Amino acid sequence: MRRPHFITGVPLLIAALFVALFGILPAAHAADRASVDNLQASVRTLGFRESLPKEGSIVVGVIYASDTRDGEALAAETAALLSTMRGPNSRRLQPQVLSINGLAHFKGHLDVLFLVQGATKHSDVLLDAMRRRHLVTISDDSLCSIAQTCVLMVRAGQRVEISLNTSLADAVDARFSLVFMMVVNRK
Amino acid sequence: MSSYFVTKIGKKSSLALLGAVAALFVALVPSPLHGQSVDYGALEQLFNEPVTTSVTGSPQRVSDVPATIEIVTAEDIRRSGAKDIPGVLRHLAGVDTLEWGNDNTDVSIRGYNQASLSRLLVLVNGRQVYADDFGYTPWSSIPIELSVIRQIEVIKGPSSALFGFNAVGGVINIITYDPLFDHVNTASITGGTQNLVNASAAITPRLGERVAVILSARGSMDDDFSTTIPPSEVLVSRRPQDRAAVNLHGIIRLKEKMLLDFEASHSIAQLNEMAPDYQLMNTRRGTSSVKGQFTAEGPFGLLQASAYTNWLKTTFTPGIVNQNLQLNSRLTVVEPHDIYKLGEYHTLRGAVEYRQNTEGTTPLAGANISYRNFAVSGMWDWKITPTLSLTNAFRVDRLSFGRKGYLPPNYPFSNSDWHGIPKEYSYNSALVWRPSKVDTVRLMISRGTQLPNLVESGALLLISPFLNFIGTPTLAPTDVTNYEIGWDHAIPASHIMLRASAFHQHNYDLIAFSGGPIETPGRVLVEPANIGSSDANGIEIGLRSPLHQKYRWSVDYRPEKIVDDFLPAARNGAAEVDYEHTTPRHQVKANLGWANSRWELDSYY
Repeated sequence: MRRPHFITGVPLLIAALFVALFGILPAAHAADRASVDNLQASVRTLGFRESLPKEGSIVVGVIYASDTRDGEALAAETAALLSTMRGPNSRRLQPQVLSINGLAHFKGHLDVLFLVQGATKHSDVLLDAMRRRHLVTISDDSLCSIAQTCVLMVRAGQRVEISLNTSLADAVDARFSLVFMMVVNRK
Repeated sequence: MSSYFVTKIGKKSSLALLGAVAALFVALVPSPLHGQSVDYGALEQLFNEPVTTSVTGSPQRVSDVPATIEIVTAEDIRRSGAKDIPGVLRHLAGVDTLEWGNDNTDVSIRGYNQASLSRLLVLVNGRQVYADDFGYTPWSSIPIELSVIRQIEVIKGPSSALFGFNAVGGVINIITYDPLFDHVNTASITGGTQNLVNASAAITPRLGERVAVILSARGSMDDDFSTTIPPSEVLVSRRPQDRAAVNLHGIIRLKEKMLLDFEASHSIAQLNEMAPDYQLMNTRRGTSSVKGQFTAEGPFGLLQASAYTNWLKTTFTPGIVNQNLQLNSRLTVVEPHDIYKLGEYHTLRGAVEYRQNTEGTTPLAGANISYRNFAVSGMWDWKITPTLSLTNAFRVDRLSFGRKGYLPPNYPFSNSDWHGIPKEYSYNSALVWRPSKVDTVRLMISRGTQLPNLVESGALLLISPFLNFIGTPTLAPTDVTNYEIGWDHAIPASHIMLRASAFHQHNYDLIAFSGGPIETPGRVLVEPANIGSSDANGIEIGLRSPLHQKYRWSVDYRPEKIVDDFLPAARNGAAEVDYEHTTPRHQVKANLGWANSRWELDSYY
């Protein structure tokens, strides 16, 4: 039996390729894209939530912290973007801008909360509202994972990253399809 | 259009299926539900990349899978301009095609292509369409229209640990649209050279809240190319070709988190095909299939149990014999499996599979060849850190061949020579590391097994004054081991994707269709034989533009060298196998396309 021969120079070719691409091409730290991508991905996660009502428009509470600079403006901008998007099965999104304090006293219907940057720091008020009203929170603020205030953390940069806080999901009685839970990161 | 293949079995099966469907309609209990069929479209939109279940059995993003995989999307299919599945695949990096005629193509992955290629397992929604008789894929008999294909998943390298035998060169899993989530209503008529006329249609009627089906059908006819047939293949003449197929795929939402899938198909085709001995032959082939699949989600994870039967009837006229030979086989597969997510870091999959196929001998009838296989498999996907995961899959097969019936005079074997073979095992192991958001590195090792097909095992029993061909029970399965490193790099800002991999593949106990003679009193019998081993080394490098852009392009290059190490009697193509000199040393493929909301323009090299 003859011994197998390796293509001459293959290791060199591979090494050259790695060097060229790591050396010449830009470093692998892309800046995140505009938040519209984060919002779009956030809205798409709603299609995998089983406990979402099947009909009618989806009311999204856009939550900001009053003590965060430009928080209200960011929430208004987010709400404006959300109003141009469609939810699962082309359902209309109905954004409702609320401050953290406003959320505590809000009596209207809400299906889901989107936390803008800075809103995650008031975890007591948020968690109380979430548990009481069985509300799923979504955010693109990575701090929400640390503060344990978002059920879903969604970021759509170079690669879409979704983290599901399973204990928080259980606490607010939120159910997602198993297929979805197998594909996302679970914390 | 020929319609010779309406067998008693087919009629019975169709009636039984219709009865079962009707009974289920009546028995349905109204309930809202969210069963766990995979909504590929929604997941692809969410992650901006395709999702597959074909690597570990568990749904995964393509960038996370522990394998080298290419996914052909519905958009790719539409923009390919192809009229059939091999026409789509020919543009794909690392895929080799041998186009013998207008409707006869062999498709392989990373070389090793030949007439009636045996080393690629092709599935439709997990159902094998690989034909166990000659051990190849009759692409023209796949009863699926291009318009109902959601994606074609091409896994390179052995995947026997998940899919079983014959997934040694790779696996192609054709995923159709899900009638629960997708609505496909199309009709097309195509005309072309070689008197091509093709009509195809698909509809997705929704039968209430809980039942959805996709029904697709086609009919086509054409003439083969008129190029000169080489003298060695000229023993039969080319005939006009026709094909017809119908496929029904339905899903019933039984209860919350409980689904029942059912599929039934039938196809007929008359073709000019290249036989494994490189003789042109006229073939008439009929296929039928029924499949049921139950899916449920619960504390036990995602449980799925599927069962299907394929009927295959091939009537062929090898020029060298000049008589009709007929192969009838029936394959039955039952496979339950469960996928369980254990905490945050572990995904487990366990499965058992029973598989049986029986084939009558031809042209000397009165006997049959069969195999039975019982397999146990497991998969463990361990997310060691957020950026590092280890996947291990293992499968053990207990296989036994059998033969019953008539033995010709001076036949060199007795029926008891067909018996069990030692346990075969296969595995896939992969380490996937994501050093950054834009890089994925994969280290993979895998081993798969290719079975001798039923013709090689004795179903073709031809004894005549001038040619004698018999199968043999002594063939060893071919074992293929693959070692591979892969690297994906998304170039920031531009989102251009670079994919590179280097592989080494060792093939042991390769089988040649006419590899060895046996001398018996008064005649020489030709029989298949294990002829030796072969090694392949190669690299694949590709660059492609991001998804869903106005301009899209790709360029792929694969240098590969194969070294055959055959027994002396089989060297230099003596056994009609010569991978070393028939696999391209260099393969380059490129694509440039443009699209706006109304028009698409694509070119392929």
